Amino acid sequence: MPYTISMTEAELIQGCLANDRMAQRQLYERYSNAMYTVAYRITNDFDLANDVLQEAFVKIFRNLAKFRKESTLGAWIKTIVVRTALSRVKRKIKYEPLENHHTKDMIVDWGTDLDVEYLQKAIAALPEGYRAVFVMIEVEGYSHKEVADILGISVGTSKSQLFYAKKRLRKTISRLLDH
Amino acid sequence: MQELNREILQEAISKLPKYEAPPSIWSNIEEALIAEEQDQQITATIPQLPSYKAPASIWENIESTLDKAPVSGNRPTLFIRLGRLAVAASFLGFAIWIGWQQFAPSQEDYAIVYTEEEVSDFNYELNLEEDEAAFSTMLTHFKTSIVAQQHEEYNTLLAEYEELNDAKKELTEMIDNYGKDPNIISQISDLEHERTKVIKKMAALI
Repeated sequence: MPYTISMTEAELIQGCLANDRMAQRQLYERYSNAMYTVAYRITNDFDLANDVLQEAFVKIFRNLAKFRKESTLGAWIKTIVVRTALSRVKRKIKYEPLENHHTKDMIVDWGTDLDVEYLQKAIAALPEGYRAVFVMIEVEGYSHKEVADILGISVGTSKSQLFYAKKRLRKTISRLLDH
Repeated sequence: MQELNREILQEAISKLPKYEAPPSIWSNIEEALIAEEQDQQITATIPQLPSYKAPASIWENIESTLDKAPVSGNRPTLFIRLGRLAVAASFLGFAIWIGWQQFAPSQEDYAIVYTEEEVSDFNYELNLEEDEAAFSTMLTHFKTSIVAQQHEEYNTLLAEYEELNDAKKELTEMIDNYGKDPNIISQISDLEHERTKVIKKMAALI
């Protein structure tokens, strides 16, 4: 049976489990760009993102039989890519506890307009830990609980990292706008 | 934390650029998958590899070698043997040093003591002269003894004594000509021993 773009997810999985190269290629083509983007956003390094994507897809094909369909295939694949990307940057990550702040310091205001280019630059300039949490929660849509599980941190730490990330982003964007 | 104008952030995030995976990545993935499949094939094939029965002659050879070779257990390698030798030598050296430390005289007691002593040469002439006088007296008594003359060994003992005397005479001349050779002195000593035996026999017959 020839595999085409119109193949269903179930058919693709079946083909990949049968070790059919065409089906594997099809699955890769379907998710590669989205996963490459995720890998780059977490690692902030295209070379590293290449490695992550390759390593992650080999893991995906190797472990596809373990996919229990408790989530979508895309979500399952993304988790593997995120974990692989994090494993590459994890040793650089330092988590800072949330210190006592005045109420006015706890406010982040995004203003009326936010330039995407500046946002992109500001995300890239974030420390590893802040960037990972910000990308996973705000960009990829993970919950604090999921992030805490994946990173092996507490939900509180996940929240504090997100707060610091946003504060840092806002500050960086303001600086960029001033120049 | 309070976040104002959050929708502005969300809108900006939605506009973040997307990236395309380079085509080379699939090639690398495919390579890895092929390598993995080959590994799996090898893993699956290995149990199917034929097994071989060792020819009976091998054991026969081993057995004959064992029969020939002395049983000495596992022979250590040259390196181990040299190592053991070195350890033994070190231990021996250490033991000698300890012994020396315990039994050697202390430095203040230590002194070299030596004496000179003249080695006295075998003064066979002096001894022989004394013996000769006694032997001569005994021989005279034996020759003149009527009892002895009637004994069947009388002539034999006299002949034996004359032979020993002649031999002694030759050896004495050799010493006079060539010096006091230890071997000759030893032979003279043996002769004297024999002469003494003969004289004793003569004395017994008188």
